[in-house]
Amino acid sequence: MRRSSSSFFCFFAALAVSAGLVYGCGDDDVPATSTTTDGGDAASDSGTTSSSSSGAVDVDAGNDGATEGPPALGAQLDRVGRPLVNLMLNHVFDVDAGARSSARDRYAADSNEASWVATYREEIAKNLALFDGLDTMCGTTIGTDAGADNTTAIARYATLADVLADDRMWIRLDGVDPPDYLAVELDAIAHGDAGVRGGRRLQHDVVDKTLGVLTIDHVDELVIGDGAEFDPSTGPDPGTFPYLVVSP
Amino acid sequence: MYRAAKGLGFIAVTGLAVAFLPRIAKSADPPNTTLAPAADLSDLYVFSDSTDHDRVVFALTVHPNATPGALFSEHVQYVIHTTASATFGAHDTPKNLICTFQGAAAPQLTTCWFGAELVARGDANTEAGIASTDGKMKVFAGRRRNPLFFNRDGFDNMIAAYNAIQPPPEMTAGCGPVGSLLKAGELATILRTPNPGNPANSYEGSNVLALVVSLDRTLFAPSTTPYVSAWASTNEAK
Repeated sequence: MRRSSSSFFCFFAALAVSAGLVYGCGDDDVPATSTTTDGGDAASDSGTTSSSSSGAVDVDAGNDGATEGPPALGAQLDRVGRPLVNLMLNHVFDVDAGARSSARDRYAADSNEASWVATYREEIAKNLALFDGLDTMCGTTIGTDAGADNTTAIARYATLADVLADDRMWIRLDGVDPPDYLAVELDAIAHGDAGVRGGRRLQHDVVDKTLGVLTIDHVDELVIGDGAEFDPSTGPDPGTFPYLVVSP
Repeated sequence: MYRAAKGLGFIAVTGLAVAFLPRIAKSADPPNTTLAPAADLSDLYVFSDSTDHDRVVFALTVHPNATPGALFSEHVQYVIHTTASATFGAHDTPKNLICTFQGAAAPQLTTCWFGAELVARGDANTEAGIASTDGKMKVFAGRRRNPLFFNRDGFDNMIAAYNAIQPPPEMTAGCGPVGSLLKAGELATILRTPNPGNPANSYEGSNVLALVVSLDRTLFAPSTTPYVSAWASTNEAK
């Protein structure tokens, strides 16, 4: 939210609300502080139970009380598919912070998955070109068409750009183990082992994997990676629901 | 993005602020935009249970830096959009997993649907979670350690260093910054170097709200459609 457009409104909202926080009233350059959650206590008009004045609900109604179908979807606020696509490949080198922010907001609000490839492939290709040089070697990004017309990024990087612009995670239920992040995608463009399960497990190093795909992962003796490694103490327990480690 | 459609009066009545659903500070996204934390997606994980491959697990994390007492929003739908298809890249008929929450204090009532009918309902913030009557859907929703590991400092510093190169690197042979080999190597070093005093994992010690759903693979129908795609969204509750 832009402070300039909202501070006035937020101020009066804060006056009207005697307790709690009004999110999104901060500076654009500072992340919202997640010190609490929304405190709305209005009763839902769609459920079989409702909030009491204290905010408590009957959580023991069980499935028997759930006779209504799923709700229609409201306006989309945010989206995520593969990690890092919006961060690494959407206006990432744009020095105009406002333009970068707006572009990423549009990406997050875009619910029309059938059009994602057409909408974002050129932007993603442009950034693939920049990452391609990170290992000091041009043309090493997976799927690069080195023989293509070099005048446009999309001509060289269309294969990978199209895969990544369709920002959905893929898993093969009949795939072979061990699963690997991006395995299904790389198999589809003939750059990975055939038939691997794919998906994203909690311990997958998706950052290094992504950087490797974008750059090919060696610069002489230098490995392209972010240096952050999986910490077993943060999980997971791969065979025990709900898998993620309890917060301290 | 500021959503001005909800009026001041509404805010005064409901008390807060998810009336505003501005976006977006995903844990792996830029810090210059904000969204109500409970609607702010962090990451999506999709995997088969390692001891029971007949269960497909979708784990969605939201609310970066969730502190004790953080709750899912009553005003947000948490959605995982899935398809099952015979080939990679297909856009077959989607089947949505939708979860909603009721209650401004713990315990919250969680209700999840997969497709048109399958429902699990109850307090999902227990180790056992809640399940549909036939057991084909199992749901947990609660605060957990953030499993993301990413040197965000190094990444941001690398981007800043790239943008500071003067003159700006030229695209050479369709990519850059090959014209500045030394700079390219330096950027790779910056990428893996955290800020002084910070851990390599910028998210170390942070917590999130996690929505974990385990589905029986038969819900994705026949063996002729083994490719399952997924993406997640938060949507305004209607």
